[in-house]
Amino acid sequence: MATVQSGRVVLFGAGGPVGAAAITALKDQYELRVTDYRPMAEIASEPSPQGPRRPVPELLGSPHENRVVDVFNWEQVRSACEGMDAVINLSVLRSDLIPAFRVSAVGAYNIAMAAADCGIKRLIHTGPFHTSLGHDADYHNDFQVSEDIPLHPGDNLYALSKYVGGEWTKAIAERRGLEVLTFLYCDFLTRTVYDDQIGHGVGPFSVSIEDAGEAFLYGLRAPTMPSPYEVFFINAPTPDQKYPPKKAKELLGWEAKDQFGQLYRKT
Amino acid sequence: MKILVTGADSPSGELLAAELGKNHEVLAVGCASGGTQIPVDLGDPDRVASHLIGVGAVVHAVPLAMRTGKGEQADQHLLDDVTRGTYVLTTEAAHAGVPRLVLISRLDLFADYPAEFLISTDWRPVPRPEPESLAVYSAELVCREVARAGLIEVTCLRFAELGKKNGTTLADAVAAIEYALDEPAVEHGHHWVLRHVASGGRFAYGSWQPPAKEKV
Repeated sequence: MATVQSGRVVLFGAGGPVGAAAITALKDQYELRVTDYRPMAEIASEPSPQGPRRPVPELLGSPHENRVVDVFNWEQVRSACEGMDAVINLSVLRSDLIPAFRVSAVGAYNIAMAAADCGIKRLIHTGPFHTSLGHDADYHNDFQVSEDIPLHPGDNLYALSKYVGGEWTKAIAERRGLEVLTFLYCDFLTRTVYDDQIGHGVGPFSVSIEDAGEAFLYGLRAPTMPSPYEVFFINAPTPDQKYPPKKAKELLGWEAKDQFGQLYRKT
Repeated sequence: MKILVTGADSPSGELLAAELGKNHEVLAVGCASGGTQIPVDLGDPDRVASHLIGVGAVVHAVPLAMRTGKGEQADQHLLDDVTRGTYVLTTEAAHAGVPRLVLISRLDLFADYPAEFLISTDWRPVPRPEPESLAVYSAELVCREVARAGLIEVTCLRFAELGKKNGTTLADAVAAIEYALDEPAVEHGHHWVLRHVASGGRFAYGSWQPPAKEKV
């Protein structure tokens, strides 16, 4: 049984906004080992580099733990997984050639292999769903796109490096007895709706950062999955019918609380 | 035609480069110096671009013969070098206007299917959770995706063990590469072409055959 109702969870790449939301959602339910490439104390003391509307991770004290981990470094990743009941991989580097492959691809390999080595049963992997990649096979012009379609990253460095990491994670899951839930995201909003957003519509693959954090709780507690590698759209069920997040509701029992009616309705 | 052949610092890559050199001007590159190949870090876009000037096609043979090195982080460096190197090579070739890249991959991506199955290019690869197997797989994924974006045509040739009758003979390997190099540009349809090239053994079913054999 891969369900993790309680226990210890390690988060990799937790210094970003999704990490901040995950920490908030999980800190009272699990003992967390929070890791990032930079010290969490340093990250927590600075404003988010993604802007004032993005949360900064709370610096947790005991019984939680903060640790510096470079996900390209096998020994550091392996050590961080020891004694854990579940793993969450939030690591990503998007636009620089060398770190993109070392973090988004090889980092994912290290995390999945370390989880398998340590006998951990559940890994939540994360990545982007790019709704427009500028080639004709990117699903940009389709509707009712489902979670199980193969991603087509094209030559986009960010999309492709994360895609390779996901495919390696899938191969490891299928052969090493690991259960992986992959959460895909595109646009992040906040639970607070700001005046300047009202009446401007909403993207077809949007989720509040708070809802994104809460999805991890559902992911950890969900029953055993139908297959070792299951993909979920983590977005609000907006009425455009472009990327309906059906599986998250069916298999995790998660549905976004923030559905952005104020944004897609006329004022 | 001037052809850039990668992986020429391996015995298999060196063999292919030498055979292709009989009909083409070959620029043989490898990650190590020595022999006749030029050492090039495929992960360095500027270095790669400088060697693509005047090149008419690329034969990317790194996945055929790579081996995990020794020492700390050897697995991680293999995965990074092959995946990032393939990305840089493919995208820089596209930027340089090289119309076609021939990727040399491996049929052992299917080794874990039951031996009695008749495997063809319609079958999903099942890489092992090991660095070498995953690196071969990612080289395919990267090339396929860059081709999907329409930037370059890629012919992926999956070989069995090179130089073996029950694998892929050198003659069949070179014939398949030469055939791919001579194919006309795609006007409509896919920019990613996939072929299995096995002269005998368990993967011979559905293998690409040289045109002369097709007439028999």
